[in-house]
Amino acid sequence: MNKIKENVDDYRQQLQSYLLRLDPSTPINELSELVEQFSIDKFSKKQMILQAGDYSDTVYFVFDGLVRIYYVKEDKEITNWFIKENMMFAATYSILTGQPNYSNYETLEDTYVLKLKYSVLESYYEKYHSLEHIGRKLIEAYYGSFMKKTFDVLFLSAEERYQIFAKDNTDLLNRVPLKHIASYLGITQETLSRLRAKY
Amino acid sequence: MKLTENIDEHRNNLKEYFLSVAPNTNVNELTELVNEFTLCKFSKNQLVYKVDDISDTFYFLVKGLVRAYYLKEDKEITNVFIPEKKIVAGAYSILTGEKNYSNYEAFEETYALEIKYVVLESYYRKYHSLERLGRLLVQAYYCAFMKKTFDVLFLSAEERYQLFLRDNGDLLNRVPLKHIASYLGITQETLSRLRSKH
Repeated sequence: MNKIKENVDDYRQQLQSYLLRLDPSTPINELSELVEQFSIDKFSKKQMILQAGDYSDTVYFVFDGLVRIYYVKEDKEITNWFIKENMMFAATYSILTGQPNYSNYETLEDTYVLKLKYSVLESYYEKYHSLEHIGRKLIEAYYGSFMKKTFDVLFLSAEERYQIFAKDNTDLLNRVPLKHIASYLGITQETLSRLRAKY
Repeated sequence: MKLTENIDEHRNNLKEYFLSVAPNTNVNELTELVNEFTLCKFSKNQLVYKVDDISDTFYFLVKGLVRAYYLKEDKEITNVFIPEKKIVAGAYSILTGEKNYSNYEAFEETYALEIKYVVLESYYRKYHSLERLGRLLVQAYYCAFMKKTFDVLFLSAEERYQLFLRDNGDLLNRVPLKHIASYLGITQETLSRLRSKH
C-alpha cells in the first residue's frame, strides 16, 4: 500500500487519460483539478465492497484489480459486469435515486481504486461546463452499455455473445472462474466449455 | 388544425417538463432552446422510429401515445408506452451509435414537438445549464431503465401489475391487453386474472 501511495500521481494520470477520451478537447487544468480530488483505497481479494440493499455515495476508478458485480436470484449468483483496470464503477441506481442498490460488488483480486464522493464530483460538474460535459458523456456511456448488454442477451445467440466477450476480454478468461463468465453470458458452464473448446 | 395554433402552449409544457427534471435550468436559455422545437404529426400506426434506424431526432409528445416494441421469434414484445408530456428519444441508437432494436409506433394519432439531435447538442455546448439538463435527462431515463429491468427480475407478476396500474392506470383503457401483457412479461390469461382481482 505504501508503494501504491507513492504513485498516486501516476494513477490520477491514468484516470485523467480515461476521462479525456470522453472529450479530448477538455481543458487539462480543469480536469486535473477534478482528478486531484480522488483518493486511493484498497480492497482485498474476495472483499465485498457493497451489498444489495446498501446505499452508496461514492464513485470508483479501478487502476489495478478486478471487481465482479452480481445479483442473487433464486439462490443463484448472476454476474452483471466485470470491472477491470481503467474502468469506473458506482452503485449508480442508489446514488441517483437515493434508493437501496440491487447488486453486490465483490473483488475477485486485490483491487486498488481511486474514489470520490459523488457530491464532490457533481460540484465540479457545476463549477466547469467542460466537466459537466464529461459527466454527461460518462452517464451516456454507462446507460449505452447497460442497454447493449440487455439487448445482446435478447437478440444474440450464446455463441455470438461468447465471441464478443472473448474478443473484448481475452484476459478475463484466465482471471475469472468460468462459472461467473457463464452466468454473465446467460449460459450453462457446459455450454461455455463447449464454446471455449471450439474457439 | 387547432393543435398547431397552440404551439406556444406546447413549448410551455416542454419547458415545464425540462424544469421538472432540472429545476435550476436558466429560464432564458431554456426558452431559447424550446423555441427551436417544431410541431410534427404521426398518423395512427405510423412508425416514429423503425428497427435498424439510427435516431437523429428527439421528440416530446404533445398528444397521443407511442408504443415501443421489438420482435422476438415473430412475437411483438412491448418495451414501453410513452404518453403525452413524455419523450421519445430512440436512446439506444443515440448512445451506442448502433441501429435501434425497437419499433416506435404511434398508437393513436400523435402530435409531437421535435428537434434534431445536432441542434440539441449545439445548445448543450452553448449553455452550461442546458448541458446539465441533458445530463439529468439521461440520468432519469437510465434509472427508469434499470428499475424496469430489475422489476422484471425481482418482482412477481402481481407486483408488476400493481406498479403499472399505479403509474399508468389510464393506459388500461387505451391499449389492447395483449400489449400490456407483453410489457409486463405475462400471458393475457394471467393479466385478465389480475384485472378481475384488483
